[in-house]
Amino acid sequence: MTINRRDFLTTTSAVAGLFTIVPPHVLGRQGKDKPAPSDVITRATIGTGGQGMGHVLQNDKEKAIRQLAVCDVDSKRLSNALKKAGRGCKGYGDFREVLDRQDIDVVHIATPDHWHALITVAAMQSGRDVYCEKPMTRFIREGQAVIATQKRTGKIVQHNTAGRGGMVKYRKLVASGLLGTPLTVYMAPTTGYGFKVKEWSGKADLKEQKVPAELDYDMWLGPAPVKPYHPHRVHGSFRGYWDYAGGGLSDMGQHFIDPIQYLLGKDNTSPTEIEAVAPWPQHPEACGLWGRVTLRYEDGTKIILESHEWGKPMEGEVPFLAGPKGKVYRGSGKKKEQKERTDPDGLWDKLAKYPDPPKLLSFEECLRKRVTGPGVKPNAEEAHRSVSLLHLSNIAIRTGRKLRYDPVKQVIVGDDEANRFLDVPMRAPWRL
Amino acid sequence: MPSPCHLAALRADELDDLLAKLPAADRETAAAVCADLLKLDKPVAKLAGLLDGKQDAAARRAIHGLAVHVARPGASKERESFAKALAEQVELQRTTPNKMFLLQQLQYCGGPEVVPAIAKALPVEGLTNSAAQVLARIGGDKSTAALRDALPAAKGKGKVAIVQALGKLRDPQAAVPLTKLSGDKEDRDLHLAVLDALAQIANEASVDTFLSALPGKPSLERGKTLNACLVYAERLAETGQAKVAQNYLGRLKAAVKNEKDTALVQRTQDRLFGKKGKDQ
Repeated sequence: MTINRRDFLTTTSAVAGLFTIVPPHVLGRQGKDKPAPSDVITRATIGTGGQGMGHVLQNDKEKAIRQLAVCDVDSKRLSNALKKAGRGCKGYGDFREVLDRQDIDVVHIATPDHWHALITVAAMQSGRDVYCEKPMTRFIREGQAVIATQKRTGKIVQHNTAGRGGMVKYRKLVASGLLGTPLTVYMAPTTGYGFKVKEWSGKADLKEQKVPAELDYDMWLGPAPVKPYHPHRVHGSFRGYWDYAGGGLSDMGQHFIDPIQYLLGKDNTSPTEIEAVAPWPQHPEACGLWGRVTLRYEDGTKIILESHEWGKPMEGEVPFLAGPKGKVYRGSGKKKEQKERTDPDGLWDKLAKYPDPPKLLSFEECLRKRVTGPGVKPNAEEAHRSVSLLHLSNIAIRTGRKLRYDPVKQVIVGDDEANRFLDVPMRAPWRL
Repeated sequence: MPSPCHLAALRADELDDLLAKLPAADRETAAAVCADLLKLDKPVAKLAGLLDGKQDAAARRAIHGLAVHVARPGASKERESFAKALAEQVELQRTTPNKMFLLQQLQYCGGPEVVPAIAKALPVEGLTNSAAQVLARIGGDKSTAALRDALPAAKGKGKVAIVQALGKLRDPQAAVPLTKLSGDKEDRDLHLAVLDALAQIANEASVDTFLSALPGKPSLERGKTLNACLVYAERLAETGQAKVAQNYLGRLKAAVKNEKDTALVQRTQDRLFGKKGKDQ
């Protein structure tokens, strides 16, 4: 019986858990520049719009990774993706046909948000590792389903958020204790975080239009409720509608929040109190404005999000990171590093004697070593915890109520109806 | 003395004035507007009457706001009264999209009091999915009974939606009708939905159904079926049927006849019962 690298990795990771390291020599390597066929990672990309095209490789330029399949419900986008990938790549309109193939190692997912968890789960069930765009999910129960499937299958899952790598020194600073506790993190345009709230707001007055011939609208909607077609619902602007996403907060939010959870050392927990300042009620379909969200952890750590696009922001220069013994100020824009300063001065210099955090691995390194982390990108548990902050923030905005959250049971305490926002029903036949 | 027409006009102005105050800049002001809206004569009917008109967006915002407002802790009577009025409007609205919109709002505020009204919508083409979702939210014996009653006549995706709702509610009485449905493997969506639902229900009598469920060729369908088989074992263990689960996993491992799938079954055995599970 012969065994290739794909079968070997699948079987060993399933049997031995996630820590089996497979050195290339075990399965053979050919020369310096030509990887053996058994070393080549094969990829499918599902969702080939603006963000998705970044996940489509050019087969004539790549050696270690081959793009075997691209998939989109928009035939024009699919055609562009096929042109980019070149020889050896096949196009699909239904992701289930991609997952029926047996020669694909990794599935990259860059669809609209309402498809992320469903395809992540299906890909793992069909035996694939997954690299999924942010935000990981559209609601909290989806994240729990992804984690449960990951544990069941032992597949590698990571999510494309930016910023963990840039936060290593902050993590070291927090772990050193030089700032003291509890800490407060302030995230607003003045500290480098613009949430694009107005940009990704929905419209409440959409009039039905004809579905373009190139779009399979029913498949685009997938688990979401059937609503009359309008171009603003789909493609880039889908982010402004609760049925598919969570506005600028969940779009930019996971890029921003995930590194904060990492630097605070809170990758495996969630806040216990969430409170929002926002206009109320929000529209049932179109994501709207908000001013501030305050998230408090059980130990007193606090994250304050401010949009500066509605309401009154906090006055004066607010530190990005503050504890009882020290603060870090940072500006926004291209030269924000140059504007960074600490109070007292010289906190960074004192860090030399403290240990560095563990090295963060790239997704490809994690794939080849069959480990889930620590990654430059968050794994399923880390990504679920970070995106949970955004979902809880949106629930606080939508209910207008202060929420108490149990991070272990992952339920809102004392508010049964608010818990209904944790698990959004899916249109049949789609389910987790 | 003002005429009835004049009074109606005054009330319409009052409604317009209140709608113009939403969204409010803070929750307290918005709560006061909601309270004033609920004091109007038949407020839900009035708001539903504005759908698809010039005030459509404002009416949708207000209906949604009220659905969330009445669902706050400690307002159960207000919630019941509002939900009943909303459920009545589902039947009275003329278009399917508007009926679906109202059903979606009932997902936030509906309780047992609206089950009879929602059950009427279950067999209506185009509404089955939304109605099943509301009943899955509400839960309880009345919801599961309504779903079971609607199951035999339902077709296509509507049938799948009802099966999914019964699975979500883990209705033990649904095990028998679902097992009967599991024999039909022609409709792939329905077959997988039935297996997922039976896995959630975790009835010991489903063991043979799962052992004979795996399709032959490697495919997404096989992966999803095996996943349902493993979830069934997890749910058996969760519900105090550990011995049944251990025995079942041993038989499943022998049945899969595929190295990758054997490894996945072993993984579940190890997770549920530790390494000893290997030998049992």
